[in-house]
Amino acid sequence: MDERKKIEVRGTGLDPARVRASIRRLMDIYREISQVADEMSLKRCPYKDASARCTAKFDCRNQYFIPNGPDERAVCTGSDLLDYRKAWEV
Amino acid sequence: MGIVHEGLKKEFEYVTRKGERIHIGQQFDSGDLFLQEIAYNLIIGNHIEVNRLTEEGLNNGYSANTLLDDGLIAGMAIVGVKFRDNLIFVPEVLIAARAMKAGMVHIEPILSESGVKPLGTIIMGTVKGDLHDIGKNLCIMMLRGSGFVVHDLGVDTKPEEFIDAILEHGAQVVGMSALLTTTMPNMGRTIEAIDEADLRDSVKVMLGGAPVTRTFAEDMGADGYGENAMECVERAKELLGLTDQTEETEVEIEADA
Repeated sequence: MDERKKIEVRGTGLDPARVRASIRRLMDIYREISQVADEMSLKRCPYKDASARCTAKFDCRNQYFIPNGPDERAVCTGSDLLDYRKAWEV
Repeated sequence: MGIVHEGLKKEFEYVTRKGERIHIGQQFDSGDLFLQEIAYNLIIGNHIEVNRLTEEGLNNGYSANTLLDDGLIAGMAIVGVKFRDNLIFVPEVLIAARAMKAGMVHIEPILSESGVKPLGTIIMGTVKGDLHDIGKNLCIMMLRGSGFVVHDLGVDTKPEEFIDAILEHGAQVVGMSALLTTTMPNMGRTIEAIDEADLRDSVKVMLGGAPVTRTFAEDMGADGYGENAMECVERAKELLGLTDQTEETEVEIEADA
């Protein structure tokens, strides 16, 4: 391990100023994520993951469960061009 | 030394903008395989490994600062880039946020021991009859990131569950979410129940959700409304009197700590 990284030990020597900078940096990352999520929600269901599987805990008309498929999650058959919210209230 | 972790090397290839490659790459300059393992596991959302590795790191002498900066946040920076570039979507971001939380479980007590106090305690839940949680979960991610302690009651939350949680955790703020127009009135019913439990004076209530408006929130008797996750954080800070000025000093050190 890099000795420079070991200068502080658990519970002592934590640098509050560095923590403040860390929180700011994390919030910058999250702020951009929030903005992208807002934009993305206008054109893609937010419950649909990168492999087009549904992560919702509720029923949706766009869910298609593959019989004996390798994944318990439904495939999303919704078109990103349509308002997916109408499919949620089945 | 740079990136030595094979999996992280592949993830870093998704960072294509020059400035970002420099900025994020700096976090991995030490070439520390252990920290890169944490970052990699956060990116792929392996919360079990992030939990285990963060604890192991602290036990082996890594500072909380270093684990936070060069492990957890460095990994989240790559998650943010992948999300912006449509390589991953909200579910993957939330899985990474769960991994972040798993690591923070070990960091937070050290922050506390060092006098770095949480900004406040918040109860969050989707109201009774409603199973939609993605907006709430994004809010929770951001609230935790900004330094709040958040207790997530999940979906379909009954008024009495909100009340029990307020009492159990001594929360200063309650955040409620609804997506369906049919469940929105349950926000008002929950506020009424909080009032009937004589807790209304001790807790602030904020509302959010796609069909919820500021006017609706006011009509329901809420103290605040947030249109999105960023506003949720701003509203929580406002409700607790954490102005911009106090934000600058949000990480406070207890005298003689």
